[in-house]
Amino acid sequence: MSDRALRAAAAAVAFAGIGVAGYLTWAHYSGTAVACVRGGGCETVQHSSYAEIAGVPVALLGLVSYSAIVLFLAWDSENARLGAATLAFVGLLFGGYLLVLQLFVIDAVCVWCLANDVLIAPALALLTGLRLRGPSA
Amino acid sequence: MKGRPTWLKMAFALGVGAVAAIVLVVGSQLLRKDNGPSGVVSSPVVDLSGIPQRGTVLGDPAAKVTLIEFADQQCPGCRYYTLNVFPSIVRGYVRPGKVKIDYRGFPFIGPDSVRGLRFLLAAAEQNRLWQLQEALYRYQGKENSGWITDDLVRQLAAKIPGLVVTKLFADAQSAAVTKAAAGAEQKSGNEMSQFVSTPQTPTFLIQIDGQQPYYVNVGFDVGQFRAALDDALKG
Repeated sequence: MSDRALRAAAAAVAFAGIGVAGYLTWAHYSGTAVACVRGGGCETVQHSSYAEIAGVPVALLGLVSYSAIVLFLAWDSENARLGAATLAFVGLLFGGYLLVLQLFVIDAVCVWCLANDVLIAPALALLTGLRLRGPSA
Repeated sequence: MKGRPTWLKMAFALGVGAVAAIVLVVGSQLLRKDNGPSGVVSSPVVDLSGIPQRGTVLGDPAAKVTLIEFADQQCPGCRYYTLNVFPSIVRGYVRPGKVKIDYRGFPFIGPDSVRGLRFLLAAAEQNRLWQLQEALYRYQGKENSGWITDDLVRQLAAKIPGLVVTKLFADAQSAAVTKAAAGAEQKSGNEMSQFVSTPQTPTFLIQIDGQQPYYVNVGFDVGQFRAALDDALKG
């Protein structure tokens, strides 16, 4: 896989992440019901006490992180690639923690959060691959 | 870090990332949104006086549309709904006699949920369930912290006109109420399972003229509730 293709794939995943996190952030601030699968627990998760940290919606943290990853990809230096991969690593760990909360504490699962977990894993793989290659000449 | 080997930089980044994740997890536990007692609302958010109430049903028994609500007194989403959406529904639909609301307890969060439901069902014996559930949501505490104390219930019940507190406590201990509250999770869960894959609270069904109810995904948005109820009233 070429360096360019890796970057494009990573950017596509990051933009998808921006879409998911952006939608949840918008729903949070607008008070709109989150579109959910039949009987899903999106509202329960969105209104749980874990949906915010110090008043900041967790979805907004995701939106900022994915946006930063896109900016790092555009910058495309050695340190930028390292920064993007590090952000994805943090996202994967925190996403795992949130998944455990959904399954065992909140007793409800939000498909949008699962979508984020599905996106962050390949994002980390792609960004780590990019970092190991080094920036394009 | 220029000139350092790639593996060293990666290891450093992994360490920084792990620390950042730990900070987020700890922050999430310590600084999470508090749905607990600090959010106490001391005055009723809705006026239910003069609205017919029979058992678990609030509103005109002849109302064509029934909004069925599955709820747990410990559920933060139910609290949010009751404090922010329920008053608009009462003013716009229940008080004018268009819609009645039927409360179905789904005490799935823990022992406080069952205890809360026992008091609600006891209040239903005096047709005051809706006032007590509204009051309990205003004083909702942390899940399974034992927040539904006799003192709290006594204090809230004493402010509800027409609710005899001694009878409330006696009924809450009765065999019928105890049995109904203990079996409510299974009963409501079975009922919800016909409409949703994962029973949870709050869940809303709409029933028109006693026909088969249907599930409505209206979240916590007053506009979506209005649209769903307006559709049902046309139907």
